[in-house]
Amino acid sequence: MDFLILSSAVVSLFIFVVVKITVLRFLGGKKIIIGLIYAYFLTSLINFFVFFFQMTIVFYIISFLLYSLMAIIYVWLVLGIATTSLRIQLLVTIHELGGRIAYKKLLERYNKRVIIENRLQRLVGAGEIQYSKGYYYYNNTFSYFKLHMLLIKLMAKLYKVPRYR
Amino acid sequence: MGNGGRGEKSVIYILISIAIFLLTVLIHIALANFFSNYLSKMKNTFLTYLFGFLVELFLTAYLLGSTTYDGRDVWFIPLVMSGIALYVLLSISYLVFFLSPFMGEESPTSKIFILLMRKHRISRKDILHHFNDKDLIDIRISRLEQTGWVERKGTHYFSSPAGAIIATFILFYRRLLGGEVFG
Repeated sequence: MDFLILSSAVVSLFIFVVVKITVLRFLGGKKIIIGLIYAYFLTSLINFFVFFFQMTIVFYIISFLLYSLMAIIYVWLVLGIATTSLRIQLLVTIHELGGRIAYKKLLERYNKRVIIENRLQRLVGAGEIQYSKGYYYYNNTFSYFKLHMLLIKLMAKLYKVPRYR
Repeated sequence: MGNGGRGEKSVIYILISIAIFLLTVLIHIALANFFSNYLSKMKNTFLTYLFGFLVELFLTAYLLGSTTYDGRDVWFIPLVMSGIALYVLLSISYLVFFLSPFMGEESPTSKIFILLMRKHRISRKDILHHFNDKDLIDIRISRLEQTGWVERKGTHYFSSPAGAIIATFILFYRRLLGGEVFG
């Protein structure tokens, strides 16, 4: 049973990776957050039909929990680094320009305007913020990023870190 | 519930993993509050969660050695691998999800979002005013140099062989995702 729980979680993670790549290819890079939510729920549905009837409900919950944690780690470590990390983007920019670039040229290609524009487009695309007539607006509805920021603020209080308090 | 509670009572290994993880988080918070520079060194956090992992291994081994699973006593169905995997995954996801904003550089997305939470309405020009190239680029370039992925000679930056392999992999992965502009 132990092996079945763990292997079903690993299989679900592989399904998630395939589903996520497929969904993001359709939706595009500006809708990463929505794409991930779709991919997670679609994989959860597949996971339910494949594994729910093979084990008792408690074992299924444990397996589902393990899969969800693996998916979170994958998204943050692999997808996050590959798609939104500034450090990795700098490395890729240097590599794309032949592996050798002057600091000034690098700043011409990748600078605060490019960085902020990419992020604003992603936030608007995911419905986290709104854009109208030259202004960005805080969206009062519940959203993934809002929950994330609230948790970070809570952690900042607990850890006494001034940055996000 | 189910077939005589077989699944419902066999979660002691899982409960122990969750309890040790929560205890490790509490110890981590307490240490961060007690020692002012505790969070600035990644090593401290790593050692704290490694200690929790060793406790997890010890308790799992103790439980496995002190109980006999005869196929009927469902409370002790050994979920050793799942229990250990749960502690490891909980720890990694906690550290990645919550603590990366505190231990690394400030995320520009978080900064934009906090600005909007405070002001509710802001123009692109005002947002850009809160950022500068030095904070966004220079710190990260020097981190890339520290990791050996990028080298600097005079005013030029070069990708190292290791950096070139990583960049090639990232570009391949991005093409799989549709090849749009990221970063």
